[in-house]
Amino acid sequence: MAVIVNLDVMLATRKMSLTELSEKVGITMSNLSILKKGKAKAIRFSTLNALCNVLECQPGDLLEFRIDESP
Amino acid sequence: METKKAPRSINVIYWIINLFFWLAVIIIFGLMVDTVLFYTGVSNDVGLSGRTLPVNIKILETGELHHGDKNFTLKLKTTTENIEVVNPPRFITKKSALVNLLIFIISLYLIWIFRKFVKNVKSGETFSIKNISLLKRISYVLVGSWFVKIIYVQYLYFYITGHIKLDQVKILSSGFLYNLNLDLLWQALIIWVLAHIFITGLKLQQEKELTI
Repeated sequence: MAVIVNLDVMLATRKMSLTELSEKVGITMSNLSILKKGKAKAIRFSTLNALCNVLECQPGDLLEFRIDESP
Repeated sequence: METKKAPRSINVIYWIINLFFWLAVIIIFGLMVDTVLFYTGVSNDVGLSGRTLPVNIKILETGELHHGDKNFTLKLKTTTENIEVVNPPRFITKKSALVNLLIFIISLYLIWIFRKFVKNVKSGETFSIKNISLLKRISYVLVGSWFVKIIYVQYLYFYITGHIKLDQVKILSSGFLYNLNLDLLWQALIIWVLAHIFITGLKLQQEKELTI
């Protein structure tokens, strides 16, 4: 079971680069990269708020819960 | 990893540790030269070589206590004390010189590890794998030096007391319990626990760093 961050999908649909998002949201590229690669252990409400604001989406669009199929 | 400028206190501690380290290096160098000169027969004595032996002794001395018009005979009790040989024979000095050199080298190694630890803290890497392993190493070396000390004192006891005969002092036992020197073990235990606290600190730091 895992929570997936669909940041790359959201960026692709909005034709926005990670650099542009970083400038608009005010989060460093390295932190956004951690989030995009799914290496983050937690996400702050303020970060989620800023991302949803810039990407004009709901938290549910960014985060997705998937049941892990591997044993 | 996020690095911060070290506070002034850490810089001062690092400076003091550095001073101690280089002083220890000079002392050990001097001690090594002294030991070599002693072993080659150039010098007759070795500086900084201990000749004390903690033993359980009975002083065969009685005294008199005057109280009013009465006299009381007093006997001195058995005690655990350090006996110090003022003019030890060469074979004893040879052995104690080597052990002292070993103790000084272990002390230098401990200072060197602690210096590395403070250097890491100074550079902002307080909770790191490196510091955890350094702390664990300090505790293991302390336990090791405790063993060395215990073995050395027991060896000295059997070696010296087997051949020594004193008029007023009777050596009863090695004063093993007195000389257990649990301070070293306590220090080792505290540092080992500290290392485990640092492991928790590292986990918390990693979690903080991976919270976006």
